[in-house]
Amino acid sequence: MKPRYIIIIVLIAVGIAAIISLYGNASQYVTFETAKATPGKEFHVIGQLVRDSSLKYNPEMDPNHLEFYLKDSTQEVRKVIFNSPKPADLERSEKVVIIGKMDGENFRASSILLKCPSKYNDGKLEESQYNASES
Amino acid sequence: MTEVLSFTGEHLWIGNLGKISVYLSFAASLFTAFVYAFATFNEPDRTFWKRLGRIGFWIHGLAVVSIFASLFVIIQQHYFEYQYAYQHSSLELPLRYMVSCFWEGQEGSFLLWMTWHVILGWILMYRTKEWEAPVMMIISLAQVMLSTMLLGIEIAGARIGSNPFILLRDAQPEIFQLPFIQIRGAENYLTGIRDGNGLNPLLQNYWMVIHPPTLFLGFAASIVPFAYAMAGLMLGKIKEWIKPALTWTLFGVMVLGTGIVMGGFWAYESLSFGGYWAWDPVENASLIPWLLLIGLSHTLIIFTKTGKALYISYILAIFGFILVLYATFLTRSGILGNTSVHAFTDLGMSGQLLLFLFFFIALPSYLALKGKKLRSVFLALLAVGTAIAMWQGYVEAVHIPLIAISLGAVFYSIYQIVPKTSQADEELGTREFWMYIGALVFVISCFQVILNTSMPVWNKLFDFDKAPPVDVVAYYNQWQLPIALIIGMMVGFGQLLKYRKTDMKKFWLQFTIVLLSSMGITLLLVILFHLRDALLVAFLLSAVFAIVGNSFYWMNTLKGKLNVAGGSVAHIGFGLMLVGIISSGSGKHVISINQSGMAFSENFDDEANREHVLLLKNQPTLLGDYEATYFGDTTIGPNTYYKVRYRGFDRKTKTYTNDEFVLQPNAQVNPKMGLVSNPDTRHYLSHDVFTHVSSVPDKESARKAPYEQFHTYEIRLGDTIHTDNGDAILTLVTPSTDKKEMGLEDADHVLMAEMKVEGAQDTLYAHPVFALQGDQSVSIPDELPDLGLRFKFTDIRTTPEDYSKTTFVFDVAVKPPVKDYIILKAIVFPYINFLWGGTIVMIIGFLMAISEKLRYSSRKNS
Repeated sequence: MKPRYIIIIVLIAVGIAAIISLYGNASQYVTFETAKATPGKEFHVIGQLVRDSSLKYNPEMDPNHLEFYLKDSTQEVRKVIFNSPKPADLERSEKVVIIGKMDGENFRASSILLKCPSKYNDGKLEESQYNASES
Repeated sequence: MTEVLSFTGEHLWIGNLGKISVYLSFAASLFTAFVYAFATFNEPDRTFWKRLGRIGFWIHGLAVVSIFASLFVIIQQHYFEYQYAYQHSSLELPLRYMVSCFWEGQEGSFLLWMTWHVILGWILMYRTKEWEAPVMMIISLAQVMLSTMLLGIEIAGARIGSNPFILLRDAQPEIFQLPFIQIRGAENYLTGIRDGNGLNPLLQNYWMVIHPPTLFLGFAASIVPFAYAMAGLMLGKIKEWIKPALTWTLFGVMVLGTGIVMGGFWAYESLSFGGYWAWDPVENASLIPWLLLIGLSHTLIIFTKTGKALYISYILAIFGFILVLYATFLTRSGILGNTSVHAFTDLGMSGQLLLFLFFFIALPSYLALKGKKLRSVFLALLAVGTAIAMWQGYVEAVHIPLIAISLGAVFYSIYQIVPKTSQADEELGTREFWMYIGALVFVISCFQVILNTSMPVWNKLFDFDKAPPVDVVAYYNQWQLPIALIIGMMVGFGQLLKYRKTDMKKFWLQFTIVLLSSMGITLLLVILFHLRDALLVAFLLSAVFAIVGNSFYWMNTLKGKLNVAGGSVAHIGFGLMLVGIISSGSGKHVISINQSGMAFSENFDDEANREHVLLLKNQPTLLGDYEATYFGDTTIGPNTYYKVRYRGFDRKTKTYTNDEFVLQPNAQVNPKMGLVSNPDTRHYLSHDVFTHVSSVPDKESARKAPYEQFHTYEIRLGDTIHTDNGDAILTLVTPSTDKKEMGLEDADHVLMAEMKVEGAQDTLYAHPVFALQGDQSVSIPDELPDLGLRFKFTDIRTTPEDYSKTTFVFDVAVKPPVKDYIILKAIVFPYINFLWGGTIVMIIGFLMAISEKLRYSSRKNS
């Protein structure tokens, strides 16, 4: 076989591998219920911050511990734990995307995406991301 | 809105000038494209059409310059009646950042891109000789596309482009409903618009002044090889376009690469995510064309040396430009919505962008197809595809046939025109073979980045609802690190091979020398970098191999000559960059690990990351090999700088080292964006200490909070009042001498008390005042806001002669004290200077290679 055909076959194989890998590794936007069905697996959950006094962040006790409640699209409310300082614009957010997994009755978020009304983009929503850890 | 004919204080002339320039630039580019098309295809009258084309392009270029100048005047003069100035600037904005306002808005970005095209066009017009007509035709077509983005006119209900000169009152007529505008009357609305919205604080950074223009120059340069490739098709000069295109490709790779690294450096210096690259879609959008252009530069070199790899050169030249357009589509159409941290909103131009994208994909196929019949079939297929895509009540999947037809046509049509003898050689022992493979590896790398970044596109096309991988960075690295490893190896041994035929004995000898010395150096670096991971060690070996291989080639084969070493130097720079990526990426460690809190928090869990640490004011805390103390803050403009002193501390000997410095990460509690945190970094040759504030208490509102508890105390000198916020001792009561200062010049007796309060961090004194004026009494309370205490001296129980026996009455108000602390994250990046240094070496290499090519072509011409 000529090297050219080997190259072409390898190229196509790697390309297909990339597609399959992406399909397999892609996460999903789910509700708390689905996330709870597969504990330990990480998902994206979209919801709204529950605006009452249930948000807990006491930096003097532990600067890496934030708790708040999130209502998903099915109106299910769960406690979300985020091991990082509180994003300053959390309370302003209109939509919150949390990335992480269910841990018992609570959701443990590794990243938070906030959509806040943007002043620099004239009323449109602006996103900012917060990660709990580097690794 | 009431009917008002004229508004006071508006400067309409400049906007009109701008608008006319926009229309003129559009008309002139259309005219120029047509005229240069005539010049291309009408050989007998070529001179006439070319002259006309030059005039057209000069008019177009001057119109673009006029747009640029008008917009700058509007921003610089603070004409807030214009939406662009209102939206993106403010009165307090320093001149040096005004130019950044251009690229905060989309219109300005398109304008910047157009301006670079104009400058490149002016150079090309006089330097391309026989290529002028077709090359300038393609550039003019691109200018038609870009200028429609600025038109901002409506045709048949569809808005075409977004005009940067739109007035605020037209863009946002709802301002007339605002009460403070209605009071003034609509015609005086401008007196109510005193200041603009301001520039995003993240863009107020000098890297942000130079990074976007560099990046856009790189984008703009990608059109030149494309234009030459098209010119080759139009003039039937299938091979001759390569040589002139090569110099420009090298230029494009250099500038775009510089722009990308500048963006990384900006992110590292002024964003708080702690790194230079996050695989963000917007970053990827600039990386995608760069990867292809690197591949292109190598295949073009293969062709100039051996006459091979013509097909792939065509494909890469075409897609290098197409992917710039695709990247623009991704970032400007709003489709990225869910996945990007950069917020780019939709200006309703996605249809327009798609149209141009398809136009420039279809153009090469049309030009390459031979014969009227094939071209008609192609156009018919395109029409069917478009008809399906426009189908009413559709799902997005209807675009698939059109995409398939236009992409398939590119691969087929180019294939049928390329002579079969020009296929890449299949001799394994030649340099061209491995360069060819290297170019393909870059294509794969590019493909993987496109595939992932386009997730929202796949979601739309196939009606999926997939989210990006949970850990995006790890996912990309998992693919791109092995790819970089392969590239490093090939960069290392590729230069040891010769074009066409290599003396394999000599090659293996040199290969062994290079490999062994690389292994030795790698071993030292592994110890230095504390590498543990086998894959990373292999990656490091490949990077070192690339550096050593090219150094060896430069010294041994090229005898250290400078004028031909461009390629080697660029490769050495690339290898150094890889070393920097490995050292800083693998050795990056957070030193602000929080150890407190463990005992307090009820659901503290050991697995959780504790990467942020609370620093109470004046309380030293150990962070890695440093003792960090937050000792105060200063506010300059909108920014508060938090001063943190670092002292080197040897944990083994428990002694301080001589290393001491102060970092001032700042944070802006921005009413529009929440906390905008800018890091501060201490640079050493061997490592960086990066530090940023992730949260600060709201001291201002705590100071203003109302008092919660009130008590009255009757005490004597030396007595202590116990409060929740500390013990206060009455140390002194004296008659005050400066009655006048207190506005008590008529008082008979003025007494000032001194309260000494031991707070948690320091000792503070309060001086409440009590005055008697006849039988009236006056009290001037004194406050210790940071301690949450207020003392009011309200009465004395005996005559005010002998203070030591007197009982004094104080009202003490208490509220929670204002806490002064910062929450900080600190990261050490070891040997990151390899990355920045390597980039500079690579740029120098490119400059050497470009000047080498220019020298070569001018020698040939003379």
